[in-house]
Amino acid sequence: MVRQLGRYVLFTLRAFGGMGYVLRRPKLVLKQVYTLGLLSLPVISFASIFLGMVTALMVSYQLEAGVPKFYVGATGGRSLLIEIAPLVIALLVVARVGSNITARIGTMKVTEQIDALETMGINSVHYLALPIILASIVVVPVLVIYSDLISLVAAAVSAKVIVNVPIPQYIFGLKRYATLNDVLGGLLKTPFFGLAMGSISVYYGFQTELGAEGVGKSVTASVVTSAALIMILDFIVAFWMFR
Amino acid sequence: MIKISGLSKCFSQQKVLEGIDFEAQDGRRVFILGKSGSGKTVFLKCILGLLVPDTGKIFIDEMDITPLMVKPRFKRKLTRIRQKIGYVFQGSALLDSLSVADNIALALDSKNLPWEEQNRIIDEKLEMVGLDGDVRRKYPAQLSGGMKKLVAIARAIAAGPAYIFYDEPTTALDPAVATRITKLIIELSERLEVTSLIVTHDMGLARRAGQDIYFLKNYTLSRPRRITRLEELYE
Repeated sequence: MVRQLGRYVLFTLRAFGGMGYVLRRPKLVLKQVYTLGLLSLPVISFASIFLGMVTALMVSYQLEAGVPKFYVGATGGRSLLIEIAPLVIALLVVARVGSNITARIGTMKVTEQIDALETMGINSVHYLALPIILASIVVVPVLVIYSDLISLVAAAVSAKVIVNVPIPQYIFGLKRYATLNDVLGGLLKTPFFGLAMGSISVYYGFQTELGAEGVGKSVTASVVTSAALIMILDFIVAFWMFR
Repeated sequence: MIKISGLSKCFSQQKVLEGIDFEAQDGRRVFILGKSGSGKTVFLKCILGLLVPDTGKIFIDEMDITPLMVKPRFKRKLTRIRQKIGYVFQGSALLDSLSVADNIALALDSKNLPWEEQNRIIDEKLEMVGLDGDVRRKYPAQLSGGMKKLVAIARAIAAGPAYIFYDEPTTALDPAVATRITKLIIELSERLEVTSLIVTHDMGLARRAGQDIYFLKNYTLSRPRRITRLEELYE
């Protein structure tokens, strides 16, 4: 495990060594931003709507009689901003994008496309890995901000429709109790989530061997490792900011 | 010129190549014949540094490239050597996510050419391999096996290499396409004056296009007694 960790760190450092190469070819990153970010919007929108709805529902269920209704906005909204949206969206991106990246690069490895790049004098780690890692660092925070907005709107609407909390009261609760620190606490960890997801996904793609079965194993290892690392990072940032 | 002395390669306990001495003179079409699994592709990949030999020395244009394969700080030097070589992979190895034109343009990546010049080279190379301009915008998934192989050859010659390596160039192709590729190998070696190194188990191809022929058998290379006795390989 220690050897694997060392290889992963060295691989990531090697990838960042190609910064000059990628800066001269910004299209490589923009293409990944499109693939990773824009194409994820439908699934992120869908998930965010249900995240908002279930959060509003669960908070109102736990509030005892007599507690002012604006607490649905205060606690539910804060939970969404600080924890639920960033973590769930990051895990969703791992499932949708991370698995795709590992499968794509793993297939390129076993079909000699990566060897082909090397024979043409192109550093495959710089050409393939770094644009994905950079795009992930940018895209995950943007997707989380987008999810925050959608899920808050969905939470406010569902609070009104399902548990009869007026929308102005929901907004009042949110504005009164949610602080800038909450928003930053939620967003600060997202570039690290992106870095973890992007680098682990490409690393396992490059480690792929032995045909289709190898691709399957790499995808599983990539998704499990990314998800675990994201949860560890989540705890570390929460501990640092909210202890 | 490519010169190799004492090349050996093992994978775990599995011996693949042992004590190989080899020479490819400039401008020649050199064939390496061997059965499937005899180590032909490993031999080519060792020359390119995609696999690091266990022992031996590999000289390309009188430069010993084996130390460049081991130390990461020599990666740029190795890259410059690789740019002298065009490689046609057995499975073509075109990048699925790129169009034919972009696949060929990859070979020109290090030259930083203006787009018009790249376009001109792409058209010229496609024409050389007998493909028309309509194929430029297609993706590898939209091409037949033979067309993929032709695009792979166009990509291999795009940067003006001194050497072209072909890994099983006629495998899994119908006879008409195989004949077309055989003619192309001969034509390109004469027109571009490149050294061609072809590994294959196709004895017909070796008979028609081979100038120097080696057998890869029992982990080592040998020369056949006569070109008409290629069947010796399977005896």
